[in-house]
Amino acid sequence: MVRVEPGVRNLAVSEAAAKYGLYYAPDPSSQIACSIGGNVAENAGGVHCLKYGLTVNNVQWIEIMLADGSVERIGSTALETPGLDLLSLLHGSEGMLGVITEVCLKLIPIPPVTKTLLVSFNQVESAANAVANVIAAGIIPAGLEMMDKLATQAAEDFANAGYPRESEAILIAELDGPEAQVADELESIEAVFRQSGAMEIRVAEDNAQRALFWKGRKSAFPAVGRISPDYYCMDGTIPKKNLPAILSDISDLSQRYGLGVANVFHAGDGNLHPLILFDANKADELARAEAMGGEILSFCVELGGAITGEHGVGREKINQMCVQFSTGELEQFHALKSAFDPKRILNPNKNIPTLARCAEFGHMHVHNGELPFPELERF
Amino acid sequence: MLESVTSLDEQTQTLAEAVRAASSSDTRLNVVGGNSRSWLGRSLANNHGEVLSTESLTGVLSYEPSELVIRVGAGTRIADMTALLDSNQQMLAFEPHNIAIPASIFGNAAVGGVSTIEGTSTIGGAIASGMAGASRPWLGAVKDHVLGLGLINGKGEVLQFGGQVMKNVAGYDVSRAMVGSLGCFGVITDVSLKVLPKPQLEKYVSYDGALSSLLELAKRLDAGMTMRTGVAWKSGVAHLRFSGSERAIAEVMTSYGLHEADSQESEQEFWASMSSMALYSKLDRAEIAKGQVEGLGLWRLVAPKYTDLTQLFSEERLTMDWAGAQYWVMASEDELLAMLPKISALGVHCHSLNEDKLYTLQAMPSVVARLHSSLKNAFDPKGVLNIGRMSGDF
Repeated sequence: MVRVEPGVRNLAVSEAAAKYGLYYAPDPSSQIACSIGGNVAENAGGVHCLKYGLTVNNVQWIEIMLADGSVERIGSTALETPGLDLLSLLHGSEGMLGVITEVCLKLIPIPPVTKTLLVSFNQVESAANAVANVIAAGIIPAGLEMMDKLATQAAEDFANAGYPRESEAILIAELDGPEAQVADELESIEAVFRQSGAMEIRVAEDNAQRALFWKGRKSAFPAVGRISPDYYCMDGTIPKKNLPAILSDISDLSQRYGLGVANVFHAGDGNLHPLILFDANKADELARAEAMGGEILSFCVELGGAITGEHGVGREKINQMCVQFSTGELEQFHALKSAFDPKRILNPNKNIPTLARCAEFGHMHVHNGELPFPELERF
Repeated sequence: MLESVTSLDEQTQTLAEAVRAASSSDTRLNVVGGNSRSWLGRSLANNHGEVLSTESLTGVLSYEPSELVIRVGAGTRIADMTALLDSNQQMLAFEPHNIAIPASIFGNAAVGGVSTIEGTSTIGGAIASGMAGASRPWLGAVKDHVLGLGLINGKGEVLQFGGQVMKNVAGYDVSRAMVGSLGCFGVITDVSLKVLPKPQLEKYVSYDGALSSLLELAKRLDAGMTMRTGVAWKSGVAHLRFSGSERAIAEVMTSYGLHEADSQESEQEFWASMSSMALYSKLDRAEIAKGQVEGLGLWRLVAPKYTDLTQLFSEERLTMDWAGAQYWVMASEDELLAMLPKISALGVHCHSLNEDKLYTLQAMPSVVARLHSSLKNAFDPKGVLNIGRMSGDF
């Protein structure tokens, strides 16, 4: 384990731990810049959370300053802490409940063997099905990422990672662990990919090629930034089986709004990052991109998912909270916030919308046929 | 066989109505699942209140193995879930206890005079207790597998938090927060859990040896990522469990000079008795009965990994699992109080498993206790649910 101040960068932790043969598992693509405090506040994931979990699964305790100025350690190095799981509650709370002042992270041994595969498909749907087939075969890869054609080409132009430019979708899969276990899993996963219609399977020959496979994926966002003046990144989650459905929804929306979309997914855990391409210099394109993004998130909720997997709500997605939660749930969130911060001095007006705001947004969840605040005027 | 249900809305609304009725008539409710963990936490204040059973909330709401997610009613029995998952080569990796013990272990009064508890544990109870099984240090805690849950708060409102997806940071993480809530903050109505593929194989090692040297071995095994899912010690015998492919386990055995236990069956029984908690009764029944006469009780000591409690207790008194992160010991409250500074310095929490007034020996830090009181007020403002179970303050 390691104790860090909240401003320490994510990657700096693994760099410091490397000489002990250890690393910190959650690795958001922004890990060269993002801080551990922010990772806790957003419950950041990363490309390896399928096997190793999110930030919440890799923190032993945090020290937090509450709104009244008191400072306390929440959680413990003991493997269970009596009472409610406040440590989990504080993860992803976006600075609403307290100020994180110190974090104790769980470190794990660097796996003896790591194998990274680059798999290409001539149909997006086969790639999406391959993801489900891998899990169904009882394999939990350390990472399982997917990129569509536009994202693949942009990343290839940017990083020269050796991605096949002609394929409709690529998967990057990583297996790690003791040598014999990885060898067994590699055999099984290659068979699953072949049966799922993979055009080509490449296993990285050495660490340099492994790093290159990942470089393309991790630089997908800036790469897309080169092919479009602006892009708007979404962060919805869905059950994996609905990957083909959401892709077809996104493609329909893309045509309707006249805006391109590059898709990058943490496919293994159903977290999508559609990047909506637009040009802020053109009148109304930003507004169109935002409206389209809102529709994608509504689709995610309809398909059994959530409006944000790891980027958080903040101000930007506050309207979509009205889609995902009922009045009672939002009221419970407000009560919970007051329990921590009765005067509401921390990040006021963020994260949880007021009921009035939801009524204005027009997506008020009608619960049991009862319309809350019937006295409020609506269109 | 566990049935699939399309919805538990009606049953949930019935319970919510009961909570609303209790709330408006100042009645207190004792939330009960399989009634196998009633010894956990403090004795309920004031006649335990009226029983509110989650028995009606039974069945599978959704389960698709390739999603690695199962959603069930909170009253669903762990035994039934395990069987269903097993038939799909999957498992609840946190190994929730399905408790099967003579109730006298924990004192008759605490379980309302029931003489045995047999495999009635529900998944809702497992979440509310927050206790994970033997694989905890390697495969994760209860909270690591909770994705979402339904909750009736103390006002009788029916709420849903989290969901059926692996990643979800919309709103506060109320579902994981309810792990360890002891039913005091809401009635858990349904839970969505992450499941994992079962390992191809489990192999067991056991040998006569000292507890301290087993902990040293556990450290070395952990550093090598060696497919271990159990490290326990009881009555002079070390027990290890390995999970993975045949080749991978064989590789570990060779490189650490370990040998498979002659009787894999009896080792399998040992780990099953961990899971049913029978271990703490079967081997100690006479001792516990004698101990209770002498004012001793059973305590669960939760520690950081590799904690060696032989520095505080003689080895033969201890039962250890979680590679030194969990111990079970018969002791009197006075004895533990006398060594409390030493215990706390090791980062150990003492949980009482006895019919008495205690939840844990050490009080929560005052800031944490205050937060619990404020949260109780936020979820159950009129004080309806499991009053006194966690704290004398609520």
